[in-house]
Amino acid sequence: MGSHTGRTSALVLRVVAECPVSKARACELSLPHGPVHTPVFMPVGTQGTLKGITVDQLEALGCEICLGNTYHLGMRPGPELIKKANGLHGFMNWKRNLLTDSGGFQMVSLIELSEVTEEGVKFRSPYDGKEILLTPEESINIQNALGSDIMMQLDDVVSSTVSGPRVEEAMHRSIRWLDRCIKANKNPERQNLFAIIQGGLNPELRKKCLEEMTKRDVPGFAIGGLSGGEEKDHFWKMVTLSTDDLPRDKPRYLMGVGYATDLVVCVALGCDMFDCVFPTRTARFGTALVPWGSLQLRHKQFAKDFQPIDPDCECATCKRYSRAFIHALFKTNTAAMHHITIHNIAYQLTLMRSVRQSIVEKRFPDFVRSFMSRMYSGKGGYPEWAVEALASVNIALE
Amino acid sequence: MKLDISKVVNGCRLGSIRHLGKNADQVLDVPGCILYTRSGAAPHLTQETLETIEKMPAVTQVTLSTLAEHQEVLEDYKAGAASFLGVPNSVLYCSLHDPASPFPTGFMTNKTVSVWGSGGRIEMTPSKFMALQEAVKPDWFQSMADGDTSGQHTSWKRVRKSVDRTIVFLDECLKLQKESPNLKNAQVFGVVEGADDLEERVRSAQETAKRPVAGFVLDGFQKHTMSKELRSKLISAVMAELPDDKPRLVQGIGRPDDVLDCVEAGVDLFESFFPYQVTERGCALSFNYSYQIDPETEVLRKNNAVNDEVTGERCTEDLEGQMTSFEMDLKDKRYCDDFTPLLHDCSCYCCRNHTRAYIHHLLITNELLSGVLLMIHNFHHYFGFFRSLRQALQDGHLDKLKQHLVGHRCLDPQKT
Repeated sequence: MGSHTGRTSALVLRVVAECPVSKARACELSLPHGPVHTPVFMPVGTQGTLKGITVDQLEALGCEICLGNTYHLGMRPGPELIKKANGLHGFMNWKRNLLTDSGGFQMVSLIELSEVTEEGVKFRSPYDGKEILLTPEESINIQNALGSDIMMQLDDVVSSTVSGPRVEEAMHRSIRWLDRCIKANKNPERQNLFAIIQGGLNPELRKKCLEEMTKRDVPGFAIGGLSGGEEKDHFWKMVTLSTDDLPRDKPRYLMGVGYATDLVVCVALGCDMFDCVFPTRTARFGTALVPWGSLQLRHKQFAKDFQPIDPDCECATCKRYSRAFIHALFKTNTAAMHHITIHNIAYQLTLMRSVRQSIVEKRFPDFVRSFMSRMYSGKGGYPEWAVEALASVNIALE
Repeated sequence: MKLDISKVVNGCRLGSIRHLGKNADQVLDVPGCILYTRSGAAPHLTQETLETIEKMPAVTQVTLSTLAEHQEVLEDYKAGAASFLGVPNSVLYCSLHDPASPFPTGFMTNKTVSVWGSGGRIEMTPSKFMALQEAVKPDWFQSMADGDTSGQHTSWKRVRKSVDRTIVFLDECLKLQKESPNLKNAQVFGVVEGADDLEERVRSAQETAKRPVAGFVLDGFQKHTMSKELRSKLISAVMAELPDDKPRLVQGIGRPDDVLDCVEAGVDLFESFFPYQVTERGCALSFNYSYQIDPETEVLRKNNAVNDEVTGERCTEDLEGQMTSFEMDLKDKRYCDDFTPLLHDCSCYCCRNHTRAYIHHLLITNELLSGVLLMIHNFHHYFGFFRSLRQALQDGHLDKLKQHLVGHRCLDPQKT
């Protein structure tokens, strides 16, 4: 799918298979640094590194795209230095794809005293106390310097637990900021700018935002504002409403979603791309993710558990080490965290690969059933929101 | 195991320890070092990242400081520490204390020694010590020893006691080993104590040498206040009492210049905790260990050395934890936009793939990857130093190597 203006397309989406029952699709995204097979989970490497993991290890895990963070990298080491290093790819020596977010989310989540105006987001740098204004233009400027394959627009981020006129204001402002971001992008032929659909938990606002943003010629769309503390009931309805109105031939990126169940359900609802710090962050706290839940490896119960984290897992950690070993290692050696990080990334990527394979082989609904059954057996039933969400796309759980 | 010394040059022994490991097919060259671990694993490294380091030492050091608290787990596991640690084919040497963690003084008794784990002090009698060895199942282990003589003013009486106790502990351990079918293939290393007292050192060496041990561990030279001259004198005196055909390991010596001094005094083996300490302070080993002079690279090296030294690379006495003249401080601002590798001629994973600017960024932002990459480089460099040392002994160029090493002079601190 080329662009209309005749410039080279930095993103081509090919729909490889569509689930005849639900809204799930399996696609292949062609990006400047290689193909990305969707549905895809993108691990987060905030400060130009995936914590404790080398780029070789990340590549060996089959990761095709990961995230860098504009706010953090914009602060340290700063866009000028990264430009000198041949962009973020050059700086961290990652040869595959990178997605950078705009910095907007950190504004709201990390900094207490930030003020949003039409101009941009004003905040105080936590490193030197200076007042900084992050405008749509500046965010794109930093992301141009980072050279990411996919860039996110600066959006006016409002917590999903907020309601009322602020949500509407933020939605409209995000549209205006999208236009400013599109204008500011110096490298459209190799850096893809995604729009972010806002509107909180208000269907009308969401629809309005979708209507407006899909008029813009952007290579992809993200569904934003939905990974906060909102009720899952509202969450899935906004996701499915969004994918209904997003174009088939452009990728749909659901931001900040990473729990296994959420991934599977949202694939069914039509999403292609996901990111979340959860799997890698929880690893550093000693929690390993498995198809039936999670293991808190620092707990005493694992001291003499000589099985691997998941006997069926093929990752480097599970092939060589036991739960007991990682438990013993935790107090004295950071390698314990790295072992779990590798496993958790492997778990997420393998999950997505299996999801994709099942879509291609036209057995996605069965996959969902078997996934849910494994995850929730013995846990007193399936979460209601998931049952409803899946039912809405014709997947019934027993 | 068998120690073959092929050459002795100026007191330095060059050779190999053969027939190591499960299949008796692994070799450890001497002078050499053994791999430092924490809780049995290389610090910061998984097997994949560890394996990027070429020519790793054949022997891995595990310590009771980090393993003692897992005794029950290892006993339940039954198959030994190497297997538990995911490295079943490794040759393990089990020492008492972690060389990178000093322990509090005043806790050793006539009947027990203590180690300090993550949960606090663990006291052991020879029985418990040997039970631990049964659980760990090392290939080599140092006998139980009282080396608590590094306090400021250790009295002669106390030094003498440490020698006496250590001999008693050795005899106990050997006796218990005889009675333990599980440990009959393990090699026991006797420990030579004596602090800085020449007579006690000789006595300890003589007594230990009388026992049927497979090798010797020289303890008590960790003290930074012991002069180089005294240390060399004491070590030489000890070596004169030890048989030539058994390996000698010295504990707590890591700096390359100290290593050279000890090799000249007859030491064969060293621990590799020094690269770990360098890593923990955000530094990279950068000392020159080549002895072959290639005029081109020599100019480059001199230029790099000047650039690295000019703006105040600190050189201090090697007090605990302080940076030495053998390393570069990557936290220094000057590296923030230096897109060259740590060392231009280093072939380690870090130098082949990353830049000083990136490592600097990782350190400033407190990122875990800094430890991973620096550990890889620092181990790689340190093992390379030992290889070069062996080659220099083989080629008769130890003096050149010493010159290059010590010639990496540090600036007068006053001038910086």
